[in-house]
Amino acid sequence: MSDKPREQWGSRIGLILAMAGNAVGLGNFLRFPRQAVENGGGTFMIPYFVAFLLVGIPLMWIEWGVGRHGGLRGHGSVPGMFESLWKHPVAKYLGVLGLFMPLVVLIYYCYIESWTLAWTFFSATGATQGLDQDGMRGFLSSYQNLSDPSVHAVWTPFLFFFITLFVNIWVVSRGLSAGIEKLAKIGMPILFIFAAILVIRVLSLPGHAVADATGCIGAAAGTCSPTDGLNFMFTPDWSALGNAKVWLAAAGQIFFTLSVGMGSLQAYASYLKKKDDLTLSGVATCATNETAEVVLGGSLAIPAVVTFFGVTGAVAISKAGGFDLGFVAMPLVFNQLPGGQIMTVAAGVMWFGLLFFAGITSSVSMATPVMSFLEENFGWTRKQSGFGIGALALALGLLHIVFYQGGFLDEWDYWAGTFGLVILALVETILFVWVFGPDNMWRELHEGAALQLPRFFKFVMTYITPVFLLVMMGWWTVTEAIPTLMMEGKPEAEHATRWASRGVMLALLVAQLLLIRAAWRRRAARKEVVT
Amino acid sequence: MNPTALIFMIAAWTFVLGLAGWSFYRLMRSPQDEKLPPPGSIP
Repeated sequence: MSDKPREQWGSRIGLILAMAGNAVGLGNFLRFPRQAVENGGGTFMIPYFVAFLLVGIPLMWIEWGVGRHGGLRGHGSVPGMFESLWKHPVAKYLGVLGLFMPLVVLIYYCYIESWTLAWTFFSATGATQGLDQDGMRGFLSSYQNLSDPSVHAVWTPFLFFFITLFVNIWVVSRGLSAGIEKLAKIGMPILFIFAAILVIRVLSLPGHAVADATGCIGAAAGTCSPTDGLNFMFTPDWSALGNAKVWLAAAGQIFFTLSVGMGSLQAYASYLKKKDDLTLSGVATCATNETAEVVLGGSLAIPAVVTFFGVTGAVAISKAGGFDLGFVAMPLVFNQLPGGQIMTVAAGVMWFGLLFFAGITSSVSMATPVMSFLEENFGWTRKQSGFGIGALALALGLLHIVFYQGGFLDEWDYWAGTFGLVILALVETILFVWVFGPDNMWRELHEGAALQLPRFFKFVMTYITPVFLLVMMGWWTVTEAIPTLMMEGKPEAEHATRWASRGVMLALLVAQLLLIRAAWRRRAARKEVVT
Repeated sequence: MNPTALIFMIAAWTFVLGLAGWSFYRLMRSPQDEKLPPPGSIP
């Protein structure tokens, strides 16, 4: 462990905005509305909020607690944090998940984030104006597929990826307070302002004639309105409550939206002081994220798309995926907004701008755990670790750009960005609650607390949250992980790329395990005792 | 708007906005970091 004094957050509001910025991401605006409409509409909100109380908030407190406990002992990443909770040689190796996941997700997330930067530029220059649905889909497809230069030059995605990655690395290299905290203080208000303006504009749209107005209030006249979109989002389907799949989808959404199980919240929390509040700040972070998701995310894409494509069209777009919703349907909506070219440009810049800020405030957090690990164990400076990770992300990010169509990114997104998160969350919950002990966990959370938690939550964190996570992991293993591993339903032509993608991930995992071994050997050589 | 959809929407919005308002109000009321007295002010 390094002898240098650890950095600290400049202010409490800066910390909460950075934590919330970590949580608020593309999923709040693209994944949540799709999950809601596909899982019972208004009824989805019941399992969603139950999961929020039983899994979301408890995991947020657990990660803050694990992070601060480790940080006070000089550990800014999960391997050391786990060892400080469980004095066993295996603990640090289990912590590899807290290095592997954020690094893997950072690399492909930066590529997706670079699309939002590119589309902000395309919107500002009017490149997407006048395109119909096929044209807009071709516009996206040409960007994703290097062998289709019909719209974009081959170098275009590389350029935006390079810029996005550079901005990310520049921010994290400036340090905690001058980089990450400052970005959150600027980016989060811009995100909320852009989203609020767009929500007001979308919800005040007049009815619009659509090809198929089935399910809309104005169906007889062939028109749909934003109200139909809200009806579509929030009308309850009571039969969904008896469906286990809906409950697990809700728990999964809560999991992803709060960015738990990643290793980045713990890294941020490691910079807290002994008497800093965890409990109330954790609630404020969750509440900020939920406001962005339920109030803003739920009132944007679906109401806008239903107004211009009807409920039937919205279902088809939603089933095509979040990228179609965000990068095809929304620009088409903006092209049809009353107010002419200026409104189209303004709405496009605000939509993709808010997605970019949602993305970058999350991606900088993913770089933090590995940077802290390198700095604390190998004596790297902030700039060295930032640009070192940047170079690795650049090299591996290029593979995503080149092999995107072959499913290279899909594999990383599933194994590290979806399934792996539940494993880390389960392991850390067991270590913090069961191995460290429920009483120690409770005491740790209340050190400097501004909010005394009801004892009900001690019971929840001890029993309910781990069981919920176990059920989620078991369900996903059977329904998704095994079929994904066997590449069921994937075209034969993609198999080689997907295996190569898994090979690269495995190599990263092994390299990080070796790094952990090397780090602990260095510590042993310095006769350090982990407290 | 469909009354049941409206109820669900208002309930969801009230919950998250209420939680956000309450938590930030409590944060603003709770004391900030303890500030050490300026150097030399303690005899």
